[in-house]
Amino acid sequence: MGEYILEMKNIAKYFAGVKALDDVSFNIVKGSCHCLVGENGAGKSTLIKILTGAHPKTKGSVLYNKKEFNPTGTREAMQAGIGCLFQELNVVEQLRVEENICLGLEETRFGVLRGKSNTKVFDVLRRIDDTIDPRQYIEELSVAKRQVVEMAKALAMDSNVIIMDEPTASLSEEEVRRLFEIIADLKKQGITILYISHRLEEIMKLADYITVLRDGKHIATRPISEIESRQELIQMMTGKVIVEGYIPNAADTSQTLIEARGISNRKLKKVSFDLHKGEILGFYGLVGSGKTEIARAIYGVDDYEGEVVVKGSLGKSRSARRSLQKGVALVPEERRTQGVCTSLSIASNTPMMNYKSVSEKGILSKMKQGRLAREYMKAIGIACRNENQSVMYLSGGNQQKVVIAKCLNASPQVLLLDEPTRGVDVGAKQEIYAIIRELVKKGCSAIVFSSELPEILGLCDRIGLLYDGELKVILQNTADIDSERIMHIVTGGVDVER
Amino acid sequence: MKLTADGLQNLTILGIFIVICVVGFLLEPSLFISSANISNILVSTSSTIITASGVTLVLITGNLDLSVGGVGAMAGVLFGLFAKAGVPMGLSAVLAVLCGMLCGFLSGLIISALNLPSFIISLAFKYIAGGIALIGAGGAIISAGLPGNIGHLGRVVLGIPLPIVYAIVIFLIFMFIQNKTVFASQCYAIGSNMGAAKLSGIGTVRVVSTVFMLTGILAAFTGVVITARFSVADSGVLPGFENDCIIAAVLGGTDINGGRGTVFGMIIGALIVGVLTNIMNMLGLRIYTQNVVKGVVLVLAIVLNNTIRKKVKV
Repeated sequence: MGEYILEMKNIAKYFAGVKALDDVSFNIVKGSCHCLVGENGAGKSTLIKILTGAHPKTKGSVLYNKKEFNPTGTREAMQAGIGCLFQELNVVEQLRVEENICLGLEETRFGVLRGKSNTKVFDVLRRIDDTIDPRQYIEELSVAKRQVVEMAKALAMDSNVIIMDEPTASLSEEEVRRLFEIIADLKKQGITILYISHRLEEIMKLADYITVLRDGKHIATRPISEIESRQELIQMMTGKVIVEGYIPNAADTSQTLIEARGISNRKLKKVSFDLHKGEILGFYGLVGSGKTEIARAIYGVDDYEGEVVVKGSLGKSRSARRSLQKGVALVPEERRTQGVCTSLSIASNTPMMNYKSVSEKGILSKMKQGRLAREYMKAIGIACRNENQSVMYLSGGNQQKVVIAKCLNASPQVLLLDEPTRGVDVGAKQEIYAIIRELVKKGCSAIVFSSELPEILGLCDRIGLLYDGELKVILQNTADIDSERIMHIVTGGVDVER
Repeated sequence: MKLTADGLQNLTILGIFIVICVVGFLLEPSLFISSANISNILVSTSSTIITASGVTLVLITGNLDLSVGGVGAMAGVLFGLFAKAGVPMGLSAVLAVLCGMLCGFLSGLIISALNLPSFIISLAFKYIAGGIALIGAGGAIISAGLPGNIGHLGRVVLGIPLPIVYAIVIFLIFMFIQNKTVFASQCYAIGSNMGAAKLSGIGTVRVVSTVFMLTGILAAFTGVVITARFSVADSGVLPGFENDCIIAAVLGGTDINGGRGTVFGMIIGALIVGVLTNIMNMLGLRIYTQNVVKGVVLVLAIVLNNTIRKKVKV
C-alpha cells in the first residue's frame, strides 16, 4: 500500500439544517485511481467542492500530502495541484485550443498579454493526444477531445490529483477506451485520479479503490479486489438488495403495434422493424448511431421518407400532437430542455400531454390537477415536498419520473424512451425500470433507446443494433446473449453470424 | 392557505402599493382621497390595465409585444376616419378593433411559425401600425368632421367614467383566463420550456398567435377609447405605451423570460405607477424629475420582488 496523498478526517458539511456530509473519513492512495460512487444526494459533489475549495467545510480536516489543506477558492486548490474536470466542461468555445489551455496561465507583463505561449503546455497536450491541433477552435472539437484539452490544462498546472466528475457521460465506447488509456498513463506518472461515475461497469474496470457514500455518510472504502460484484456495490450504495437481470415480458408476436418500413433521412438508412404488443424493444448503439433519430421519426417530429404505421390509425404523424392522438408518447433524451418545464410545478407539468384529464371545455380544475399529480407521485414514487414544488428542485431521477408521469397520463399504447436513465442515480434507475416493466405488464409496449448495454440487456425482449444510422440486426434477448458480438456490430464490424 | 412564491410576491407589491397610497394621503389628505382624484388615477391607468392584461400573457409565453402603442394609435385614427366617412360609430369601433386584431394575429403568426424573435417582429409592426396612423391623420390629428356621438364610448355613466368599467371587466376576464384555462397553462409551458411544450403536443403556433391576437384587440380597443374620450383621433397617441405595459407586468412579478406572472400582479403594478405619477403631479414635480423617480422606484421594486422570490423555495 502506497502513501496517502489525500486524507479526509471526519469531514462534515451542513447546509441550513441538511447534513450533506456527516463524519466522512477515508484516505486516497497516491498514484491510484480512486472511484467515488453513490446515489444522487449521497454527498459526492459536496465532497468534491470541499476538496477544490468551492465550499468551506463545516467540520473535520483534509490532509494533502500530510499537511492541513484548506483552500479558500478553486484557484488556490488548482495552484496547489488539485485539478478538476467537471461534468459541464469549462472550455471557451470561441477560443482556440492553445488559448483555452493558457487561460489563467497567460504570460503577461503588467496585465498585458505577451505574444508567446507556454510551450510546456503543448508538450503535455501532445503527449495525451497528438491529433489535436493547438490552433483549432474548441467549438470544432468533439466532447471527448474537449475533455482532453481540459485535462491538458489540469496537467499543465502540475496537478497531482485530477478529479473527474462523470467524464464518460457523453463519450462513445471508443472514446471511453481512450480515456482509460490516458488515465493509466497518468497513474504511471504518479498522478492520482479521483473518479466519480454512475457507470458501475466502468468503475469495476477502472478502479484501484472504491469509496461508497450514502446519504452523506461514508459506507465503505475498499480495494477493487475485495469487491465481488455490481450487486454488492449497488447494495452498499442504496442499502437495498437489487434484483438485476432480464425478465421476459409476455409479448404477443401476433399483434403488431408499430410497423416501420424504410425510415430514411439525413441520418437514418432504411430502418425497418416491428413492435409487438406487450414487448419491450430496445435499440442499442454508440453515440451518433441514430437512436434519437429513430425515436423522433416515429414520434413524428422529424422528417423522414418511408412508412411508420401505428396500429389503429392511418396517415403519417407529422407532429407530437398527432402521435399522442395515435397513442404514442415520447420521453425525450434531454430532460432539462425537452422533458420538463423546470420553472413550473409538478402539478403543472403532469397534465401537459393530455389536458383533457384535468379540464372540461378548456377550463382547468386545479383540484383535479393536484389530485392527478399526487396519484402519479404515489404510483411511481416521486420524492418531493408536495405537488406544488417546482420541478427544478427535484433530483434528475425524480425529474425523469415527472416526464414519465406526463407520458403515462396520455394513456399511450406505445411508450418511447430515449436514454431514460441518463444522469439518474442507481436507486432511481431501478425504480424507472420497474415502472417500465409494470407498464408493459398492463398492456402497453415500450421502445427503449439507450447507449448503456446493461440497461438494454436488463430490460428488453428484442434488441436492435445500430451503427451509423443503419439497423444492422435485431437479436432476441437471452440469458447467454453474446455481448462481444453486440459490441463488434455496433462499432461497425461485419456480423459473421447470420 | 398555502403561500406560493407568486402569492407572496403579489402580497409584497400590494404592500408597496398601500405604502405609496398612504404617502399620498399624508402629503395631501383632502386632495388625494377625493373622488375626482381617484377617478383620475383610475382613468389614466385604465389604458395600461386593459392592454397589459394581454401583454402579461405575451410575456408569460416568453415573447415581447412592442407594437401595442402603434396598434393603439392606428386603431384610434382608423376609428376616427371610418366615423368621419359616415360609417356608424359602433361599426367604426368594431372595424378599428378588427384591424388591431389582424395586426396582432399576423405578428404572432410570423413569430411562432417562422421562429423569429418577437422583439424585432413586434417592433416592425409598431412601425407599420404607427405609420398607418400617421398616414391616416396626415401626421397630425383628426378633429373636424367627426360625428357627434364619437365620444359615446368614453363618456361618464352614473358618475363612473366608462373606461374604468372597461378596465374592470377586461381584467376580470383575463384574470380568469390566466388562472383557470388550459390555454393559459399552455402559455406558461411555452414560456418555461418551448422545447418541452412542443414535444408534449402543445400547438405553440396556435397559442402564440392567439396571445398576440388578443393583445392586438386590447391595444386597438384602448386606442378607440382614447379617441372617444378626447373626441380627437391623434396619430401621435400612446407614445411609449409598450413600455408602460411591460413595466406594469414586470412590477407585478411577470418574468421577462417567460413562464411566470399574474394578471392581478400587473394591475397592482399599473396602479403603483398610476398613483406614483399622480402624487408627483400633485407635488408639482416636473416631468423630468418624475421620470427619474419612476425609474428608481422601478429598480427598487424589482430588486425587492426578486429577493422575495429567492427566499421562497417552493
